[in-house]
Amino acid sequence: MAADLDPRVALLLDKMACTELVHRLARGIDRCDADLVRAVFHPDATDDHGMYQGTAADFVPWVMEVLAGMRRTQHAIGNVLIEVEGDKAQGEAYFIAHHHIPGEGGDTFMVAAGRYLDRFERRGGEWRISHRHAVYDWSTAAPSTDMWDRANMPGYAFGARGHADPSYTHFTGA
Amino acid sequence: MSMVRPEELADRLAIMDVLNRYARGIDRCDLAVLHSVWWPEAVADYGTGEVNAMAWSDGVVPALAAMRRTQHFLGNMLIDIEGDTATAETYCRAWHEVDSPDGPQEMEVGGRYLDRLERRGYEWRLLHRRYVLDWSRNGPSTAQWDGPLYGTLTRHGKRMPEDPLYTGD
Repeated sequence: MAADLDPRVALLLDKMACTELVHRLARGIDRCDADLVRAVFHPDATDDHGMYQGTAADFVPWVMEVLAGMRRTQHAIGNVLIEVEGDKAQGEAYFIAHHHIPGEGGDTFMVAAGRYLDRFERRGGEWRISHRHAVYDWSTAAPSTDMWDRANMPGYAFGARGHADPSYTHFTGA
Repeated sequence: MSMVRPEELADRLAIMDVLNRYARGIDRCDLAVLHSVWWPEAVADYGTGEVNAMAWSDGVVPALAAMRRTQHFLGNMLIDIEGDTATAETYCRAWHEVDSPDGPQEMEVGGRYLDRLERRGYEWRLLHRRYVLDWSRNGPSTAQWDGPLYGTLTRHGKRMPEDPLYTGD
């Protein structure tokens, strides 16, 4: 970080960088993109999702397997509070996570909401997540009422997993 | 996707304002606000083909006004800036309450806006918007605005010009 920055501007930039990591992680999860997920963590980062506790490196294949059992997800991030102290920061990010889960009697639409308590660290000028702690606040579930016939709605863009999602060509300008 | 560069700070905040202002225009059915987010030749594609965004706005406001109420709740914003152009992805959870022969219905849509924006002078506006559908939820309205708790929440959102945003009430 340039030393001549107004400290208020520097703080704003640090908070923005941390918030961006939270948003990028949500994108990585929703697109089931292991590379995107890995890229937001430091190599020695850890993760505590309750049902998973361990390294972030091992979290990636674990979460990809969990996601494979779902049809689609959207992790919407709301309130984000970041407290910066030098090269470390603590974050609290509210999330509402939407999941379509296939079942024998049809899909279930499960919504889980909570907060990501993140620790961020700046190393070599770059902020990344060093620890993610997921806290669950509420959930609600009901049979899916999604009515879109995705195969027969040409023209409409639907979310997808992996590079089939329109966001990839969007960001690369392809 | 790059990290935040110091020289981009004002641009990023201005872009976030444009994205948020769109939701205000839509939810308040405020055509002037909605027009202000697009460059004149901007293109919008909500699934039925690419159309001029100004003309799309003219058509969508009466359609929204025919609904009981809407809320476009924006979340995650990923913004890439390169000079005078920007590429963005914004999560949206859009809530609609509409009348039907069976009574009021709730329609909720989870989606994303894939945007290209351009800066002209000091102003950022949208040049291209593509809407991506992720999930939806539909059913009879369960809205409850009476009783000891909800009944005290009397300041309800409305459309332009009755909303408290305009009246100050």
